[in-house]
Amino acid sequence: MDTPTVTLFLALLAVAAQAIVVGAVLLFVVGRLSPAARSLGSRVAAEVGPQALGLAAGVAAVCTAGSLYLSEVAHFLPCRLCWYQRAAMYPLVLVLGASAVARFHRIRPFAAAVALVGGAVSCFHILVERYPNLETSSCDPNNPCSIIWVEKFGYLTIPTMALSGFALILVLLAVARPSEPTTTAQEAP
Amino acid sequence: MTGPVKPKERGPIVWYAVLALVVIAGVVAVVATRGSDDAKPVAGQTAAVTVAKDGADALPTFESAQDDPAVGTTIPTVSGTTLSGGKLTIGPDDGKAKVIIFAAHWCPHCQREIPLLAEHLKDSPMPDDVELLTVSTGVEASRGNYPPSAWLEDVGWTAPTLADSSKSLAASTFGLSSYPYFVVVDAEGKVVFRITGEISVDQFDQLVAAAQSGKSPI
Repeated sequence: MDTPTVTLFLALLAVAAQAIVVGAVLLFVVGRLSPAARSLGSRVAAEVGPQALGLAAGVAAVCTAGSLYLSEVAHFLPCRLCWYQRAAMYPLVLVLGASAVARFHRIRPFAAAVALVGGAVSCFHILVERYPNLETSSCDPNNPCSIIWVEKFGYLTIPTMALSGFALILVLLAVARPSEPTTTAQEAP
Repeated sequence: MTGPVKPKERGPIVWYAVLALVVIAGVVAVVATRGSDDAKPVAGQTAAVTVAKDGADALPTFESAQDDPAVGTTIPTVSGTTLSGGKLTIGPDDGKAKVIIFAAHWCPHCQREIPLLAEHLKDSPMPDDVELLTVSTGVEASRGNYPPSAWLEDVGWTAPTLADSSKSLAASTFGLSSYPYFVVVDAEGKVVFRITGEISVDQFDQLVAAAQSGKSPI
């Protein structure tokens, strides 16, 4: 697959991530008012919750793979702010992956803190792309943070995709929960 | 009596849904970009640039407009091809004052500056005794807003524009440190002023006046 195909693929995944995040937030907010929405939210959380750590690790893995493709194959040089986001995203693959395997749910607040920091950097990076004078009034010839390497659907740039990944990881961490125990009835002796 | 506790097995449905989502995105991406020619180099966007060996030395790399060591020195002579395919030489010997703008197609500051100046020049054309020249530099097909020729045409930029070499020889010879970069030259071919970064139309008019008068605007 060539670069335009991969970037469109990543952009579509980012759109899907945004849709899931918006849906989750809507369910949460409307669930405060509507018992039906609350019930639906609970059912979704019960379905996704036990798998959420693994899914979050998968999201981090896709973001990491995408970022490595863009820098190592497409040769889009990562800027300083890109590196900060990478520093937040890359460890999440291992941390969340290992926690999912070990069913170590107490990792959630720590992973969420890392994802929050990464998401905050993504937000600032998006602002710098839209308002380049926030950083400086001229472009570093090598690799300014304001350069837009990819722009899909008129708004999806690389940090926007990263923010989508961080946001989805946060949602998944919010719903992550250990598998609910079920009891298997046995006949009395 | 209850027996051993077992976790509920809900996983596969969720994972199948995720897998389906990824496959759909992959198929859509492949189909939608079939035959795409994004980021393929376009001919003429970079071209060989020659620096005259018997001309002045390269300008020092720009650091600050204050106490700029390049002020008062003669500009080097660079020759090459314009984006429209003609020949262009930028040097001190034509007896014309000039403002030279170095811009990169992917630089967001240049993307704001050039259309701003293009619009301004429609109402306030350059005076006859000052030449406006552009160098399209830092060209990379993989970066946004490519090719520069299409961009400059879109924004109505009519000044002669030298296509810099793939290694930005013209830019480095003139001491570029960041984009956009302005070099103001008097009629004797000496540097009057250099500045980098976005400027307003009023500041641009001051640069033109500085080229005419040979006096730095600061």
